[in-house]
Amino acid sequence: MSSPILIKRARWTCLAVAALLSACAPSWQHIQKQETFKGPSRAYLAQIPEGWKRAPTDSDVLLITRDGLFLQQIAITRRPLEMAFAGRTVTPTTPTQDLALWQYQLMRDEEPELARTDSDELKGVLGLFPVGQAKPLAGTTERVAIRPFQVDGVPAFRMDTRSQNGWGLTYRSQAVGFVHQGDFWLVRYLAPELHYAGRDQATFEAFLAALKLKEKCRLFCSD
Amino acid sequence: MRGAVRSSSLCRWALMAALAMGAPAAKALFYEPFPDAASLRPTDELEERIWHEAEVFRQQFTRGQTPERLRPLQRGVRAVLTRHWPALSSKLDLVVIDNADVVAVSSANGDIVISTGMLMRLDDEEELVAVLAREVAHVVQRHAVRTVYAARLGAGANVVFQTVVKANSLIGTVGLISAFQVTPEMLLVDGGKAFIQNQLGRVKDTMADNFVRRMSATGFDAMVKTSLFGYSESLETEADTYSLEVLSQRYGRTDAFARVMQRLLDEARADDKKFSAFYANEPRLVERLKMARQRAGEVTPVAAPLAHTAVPHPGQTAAAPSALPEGALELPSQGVVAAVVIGEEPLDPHSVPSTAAVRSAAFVSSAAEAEDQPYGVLLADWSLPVFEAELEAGRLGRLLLNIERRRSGVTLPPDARVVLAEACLAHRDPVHHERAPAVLRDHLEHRPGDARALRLLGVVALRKGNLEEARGQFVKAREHATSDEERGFIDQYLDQLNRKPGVAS
Repeated sequence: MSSPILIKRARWTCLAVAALLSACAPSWQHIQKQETFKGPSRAYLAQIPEGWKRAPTDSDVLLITRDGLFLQQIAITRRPLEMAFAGRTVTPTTPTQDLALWQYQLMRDEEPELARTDSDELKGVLGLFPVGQAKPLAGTTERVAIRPFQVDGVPAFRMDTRSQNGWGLTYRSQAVGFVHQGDFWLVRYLAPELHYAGRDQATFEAFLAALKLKEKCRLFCSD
Repeated sequence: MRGAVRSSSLCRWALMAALAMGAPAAKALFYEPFPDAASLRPTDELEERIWHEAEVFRQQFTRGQTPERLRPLQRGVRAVLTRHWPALSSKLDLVVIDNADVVAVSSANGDIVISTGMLMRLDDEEELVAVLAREVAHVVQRHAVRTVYAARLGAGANVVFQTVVKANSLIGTVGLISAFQVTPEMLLVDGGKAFIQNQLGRVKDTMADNFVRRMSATGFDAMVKTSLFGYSESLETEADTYSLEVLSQRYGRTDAFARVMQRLLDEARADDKKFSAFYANEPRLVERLKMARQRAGEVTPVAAPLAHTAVPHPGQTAAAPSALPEGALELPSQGVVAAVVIGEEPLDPHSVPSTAAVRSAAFVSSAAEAEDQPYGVLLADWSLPVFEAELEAGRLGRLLLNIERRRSGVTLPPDARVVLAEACLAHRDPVHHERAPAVLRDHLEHRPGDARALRLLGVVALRKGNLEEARGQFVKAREHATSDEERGFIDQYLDQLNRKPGVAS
């Protein structure tokens, strides 16, 4: 077969793949009516409130927002116990007070990356206002309160913190942490103190109250 | 080849032209230190802008007014500043911030910010003067404007450099064209002209773009960065030298400087988590320690630059310290820290006076506001918040050093023992775990009802698998707990003991 034909075919194949990929491109899922979310491992059941959007994750991580990630977000994340806190041994019986302290230290050291700064955003006028500035800065994290808590009967801590982003906007964070099914779980609500944190507080409380912990599904996870 | 030679020669000419244009500016490169206290004000537009930005920065850094509980300590530190630099007292403003980190920064306009964490590392007035002198030096020697001005010059040089590079590339391209036998005459008609215009347009865009980007970095950002992360090596050395001279003239010795630097260096090395600001720079700490030790060997005092008018010149008698109030601790430096009281601060916490009003009010002496508490006592009250913050942040090596260090003049509150025990238990090195029970028992002998100490003893027992003892300590801790939070966490321990007997954390 001559090379021009091959090139032509390759070009068409590339176009077809690109079209397929764009069709499968992940997008935010708009929740029209309250919906139950089960992660792939079915370790929890969470009720996503009506009118919120869910980030397109295919793991146990749940990330939801109503107006935008930097305006309010509720996230469920998990870390395997052996990797939960570097250099610390975490077991199912580790006191939640210790977990809270370690989590606080982690939050002071680094804020999880939920939005990456595109290199184009650093050029020209946009460079003066990089999107990364919107993210609360880890170093500014201050503890407001640490309290004992329970999630579906499992002992947990509840930690309120305050931090600021690069433009000086104050964020409030409420993190609930616990050990469940061999992982350290963190349920976190994050919103700017101004206007949003208070407005969606009740939604977060309802979300926490409705959160159910289940045994991990290890073989057949079709339900 | 000829094109390359021509382009490099053009480069040289461009650079020489740039230098020639920059010559008048270079004359003003080194802003001289302020000759006297009265001249401590912005002298040109650039300095004015920097002072304005410093005011903005101050509001952000201190986040409004100093809390009521911090004011006595702030007054004490301000008193030291006033006593040692009386001529500058109306020009400098000192704010103490509640921060466990080691922070001592100054702004162009005479604002000095010092943290409780830094103060907890200073044992006497001499050491405090060593640190304050460095900040005073930054102000009177105009380090901020010198830094920003140098950055501006750098930006200007960069614009010229980029232009030369672009021009070079353009000439190179022209050289290529000539290699293809495109004559200059041909270039000047039709496409050739358009080509050159296009290239020149790009150069202009690059110049404008570079200029905007570089200039934006010389304003507020530079101010914040230089203030927070330190000035250049040479400016920092100037500040160190000034501090050593002040110590030498005031006390006839400079070892306080070396003591502070050694302490900070030890602490910086004790943890993976470093100080967040300038004092995190270990190599620099080592360098200045070396310099301080060399200086400590020399006893000849040198005349310090102006603006330290309070510092007596050799042969002059040092200003007599004010009388100590009754019951005050005299610090080892023989200096009095909190005897002079200055500062009438706004009483209404909701009123927000202008910065100028606060600044002028802060340094008006007021006998009616006399502060009875000596500095050591004032500082002791702030030790626990600093230690607790270090514990929370996990800077345990540093915390152990700081608590266990022998202090002269500051007596730590008894609860520091509980923090020490908790730090030992939280430390990754198991050697420290063994120390905790003895510290806790010692503490409980003096304070048998301390719920936190009882809980920690319960944790120790739980770790060792002594479940009954753990239960007993937790039950006692619960009885003495004073808050719902504390009781809630103790209940979690008790639940754990009830649920899974035989399982230790």
